Amino acid sequence: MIKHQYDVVIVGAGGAGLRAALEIPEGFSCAVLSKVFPTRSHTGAAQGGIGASLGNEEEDSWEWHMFDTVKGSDYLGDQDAIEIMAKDAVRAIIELEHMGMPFSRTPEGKIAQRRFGGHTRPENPDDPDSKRVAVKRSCYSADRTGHIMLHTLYENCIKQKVHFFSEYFVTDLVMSGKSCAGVVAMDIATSEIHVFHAKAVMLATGGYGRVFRITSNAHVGTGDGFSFVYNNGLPLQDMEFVQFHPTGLWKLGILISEAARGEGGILLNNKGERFMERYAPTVKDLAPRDMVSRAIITEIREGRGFKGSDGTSYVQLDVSHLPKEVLNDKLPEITGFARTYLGVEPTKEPIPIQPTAHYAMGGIPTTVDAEVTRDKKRTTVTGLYAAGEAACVSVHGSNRLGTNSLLDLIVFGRRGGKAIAKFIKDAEFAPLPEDAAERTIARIDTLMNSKGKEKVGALRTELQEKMMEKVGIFRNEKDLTEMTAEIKSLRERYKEVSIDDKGKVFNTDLMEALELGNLIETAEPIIHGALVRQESRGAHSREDFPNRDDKKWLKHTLIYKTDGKPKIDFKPVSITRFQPKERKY
Amino acid sequence: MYNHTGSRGSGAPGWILQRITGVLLFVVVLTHFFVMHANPASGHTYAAVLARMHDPFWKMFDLTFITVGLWHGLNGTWGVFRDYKMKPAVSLTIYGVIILSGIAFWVLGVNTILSF
Amino acid sequence: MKVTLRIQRYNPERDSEPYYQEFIVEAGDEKERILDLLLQVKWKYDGTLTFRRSCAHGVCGSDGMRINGKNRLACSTLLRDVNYKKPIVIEPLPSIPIVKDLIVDMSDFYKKYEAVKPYLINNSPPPEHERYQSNEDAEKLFESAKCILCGCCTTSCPSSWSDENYIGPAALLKAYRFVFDTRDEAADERLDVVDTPDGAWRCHTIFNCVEACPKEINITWHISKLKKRLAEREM
Repeated sequence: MIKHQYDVVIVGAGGAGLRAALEIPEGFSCAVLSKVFPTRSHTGAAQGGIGASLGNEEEDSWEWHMFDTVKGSDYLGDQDAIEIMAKDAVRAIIELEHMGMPFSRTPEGKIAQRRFGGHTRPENPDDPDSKRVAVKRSCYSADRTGHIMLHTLYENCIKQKVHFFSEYFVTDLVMSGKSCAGVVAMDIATSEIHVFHAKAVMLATGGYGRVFRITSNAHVGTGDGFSFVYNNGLPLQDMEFVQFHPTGLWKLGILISEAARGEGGILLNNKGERFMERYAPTVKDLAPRDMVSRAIITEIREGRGFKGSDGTSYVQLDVSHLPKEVLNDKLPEITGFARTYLGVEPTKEPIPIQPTAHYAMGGIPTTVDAEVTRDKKRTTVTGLYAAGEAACVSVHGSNRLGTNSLLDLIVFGRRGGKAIAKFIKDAEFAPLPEDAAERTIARIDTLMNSKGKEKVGALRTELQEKMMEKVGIFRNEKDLTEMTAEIKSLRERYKEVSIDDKGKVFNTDLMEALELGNLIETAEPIIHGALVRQESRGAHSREDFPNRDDKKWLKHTLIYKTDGKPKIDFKPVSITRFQPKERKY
Repeated sequence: MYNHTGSRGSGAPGWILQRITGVLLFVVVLTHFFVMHANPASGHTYAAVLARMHDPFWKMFDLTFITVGLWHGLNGTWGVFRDYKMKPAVSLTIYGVIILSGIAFWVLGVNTILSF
Repeated sequence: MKVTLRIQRYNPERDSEPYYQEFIVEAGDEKERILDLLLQVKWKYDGTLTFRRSCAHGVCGSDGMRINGKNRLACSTLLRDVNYKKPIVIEPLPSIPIVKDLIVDMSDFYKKYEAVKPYLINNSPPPEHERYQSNEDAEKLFESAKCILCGCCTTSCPSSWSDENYIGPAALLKAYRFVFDTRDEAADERLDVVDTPDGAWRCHTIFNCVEACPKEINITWHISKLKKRLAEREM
């Protein structure tokens, strides 16, 4: 076992982790741990853009951005946090540009912007109550915005000589009383256990898409950060809100950006109808993701979907009517995906798509400065921070708008970094417990020596299929109760998992087994939250409770792990400027 | 292991020269073939060739041809050899052979041209 | 349909040298990704098979490997892209050290990338708004900025094979990305790095990198632009 001491340890080298690392001042030591080389992080898969009311293409204001985000969140987002994000967005984009990020440009050389789902402005700018129409708010670099942003942030980290530990797999937090004192990690190349003693730890570990079978998420999206927090007795917030992106490539789940619809693409059912006109008459195909995903499933359930050769269903995304220049210059990547993976020529024929598990609205509860909180009174956990998809500030509430995730990373990644920089100046190292790595070592020993019959691949597939079936876009009490029992049994069966690889060098078999454990731990609060919340709000749709119920449920859920049934608590929503209204587009 | 050793001389002059000589060769070789082989009107008899060899214009032309051709060809050859990883002694030997043969052929060629 | 994968294996804890092992896997149709077949081997038949993977759709650059003699990404290569009637040969990227099975040591590759100072250098105080740049100037960067650092190009380059100190196409492409950025002020610093026999001049326009690049970047064209810039500087 090797021990390190750093003022700051950041877990995860995606957008939030890298942005936070850039805030740690010289003279303090900072280590960024990542289970993949930084530019392989999943931020790089984001396509469409970053939302900010620059107003480069048409009039816009941060209040409109804030309103859209609040409304998009189905009023569950904390409005104080959303206000911070919408206001800070413009500065954050300019900062990225100054860091060297190449953006698509307007004829005047400003950052170009395009339309995106749920982003609107009043048709008459002088009358805030006039009908809302789509606004160009998404700042983009063709359809590779996430890739370009991730590389820009990593490049700036190289410039600042940030210390990376690439291919280090974090397995646990080190808690010292009520404070966080570091993390335990495994060097994947050697299987050596490392204990990182730190004054401050930031979890920027991304999402849990791989809990579901059809997902746009990378194989690394295994909910690691959620499970660290959950296993250490800290709560997870609003976990029932899982975003299904409406347009994933059929069968594969690969993301086809909303930018396709922002540039003019439309959704069609098997009758050739532009069905979104019925569900969202004003913004149509640019309705928020939860609504579009539900609409697609409804079309399919009512027999208006297409049937594939394998019996699964899809609808179509048509971009063939768009000018060739738009497809080549603004959407080159996604048209390439359709060609490569489905053999479909998007300039001539529609692309088969289906909703795909995409984003975790819920996560580790934090303050607006990324400090992790432990209860409904927002008491902070000393030394522990979280940002990005792993965190729940909450700016996305029950449904995130497109372009707000990259924005979340750079706004709250930076705020977290700043808060850490302030904290480490005066803070002392919390004492490092003797047994810091014990739990990890025991977990690894068990897996390495197990002769059980269960296999990682099969068990994970079972989890993913059942989650898809019972905790997907539409949910009901029966399915969720069944899934509660199911997860219990999966957890038991996980104890019987054995692995083939007994070696020490790059033991990815062991790593996948550890990740499966994290997936199972993360699935539990998702299921429990969905079971408890007896209403339909944003991405959480209960067939048995089809309406939003502000009287009972305009509150955040907090879920704690216990030996038996998870413990639930509630936290009020911060409502400042906008009172809840019916959500119609 | 990659070890950035800093500037050990730019390859730019060589790269530019290789291109300039390439363009020159294109003209010179085509003219040479046209005059010497393709076009009977230019005279392919002993006497006609001898007369051309005495002409100062054609002397200059041939001097250019041999200089540019040798430089371009041998520089290119050296480039091909440099694609292989060699012990310093081998590489030095090859470099020496290229330089020496270049000088030898040039002297021989120039002598021949100037002897008319 | 049954497909045979012939995979190069090497476990440093057990084997003195690499060997080949064949697996017969079940493929749904010819649109199946090679990556999914490798995952099938790992999850169903042999958990010790080791390779890197993450996004599975060609944007993260983890799974560069040699498939039937060509450097490609396992996740963007489908069965129909190869002759699957015969065993499909899968090997690690050539010419760099093998760590285990299909995993290679990329540290040298990353060192070369860092050598070209891959970050914007502009020491003048920035304006309050963005630095303006025409769309044409921005688009000059997009192709090079597509690079996912998968290593397919550099490990396919004969100049790299013969000279381990050659900075390689990926790093040169990154140098282009910043040298030709109108917002950058340190072109000279970067040009100094590549203006060496082991820098841009080691590129002999063999075009292997262009053929290998899974993002279809015309790397040789970009390197030629760099060479032109170097020549202009010299003159």
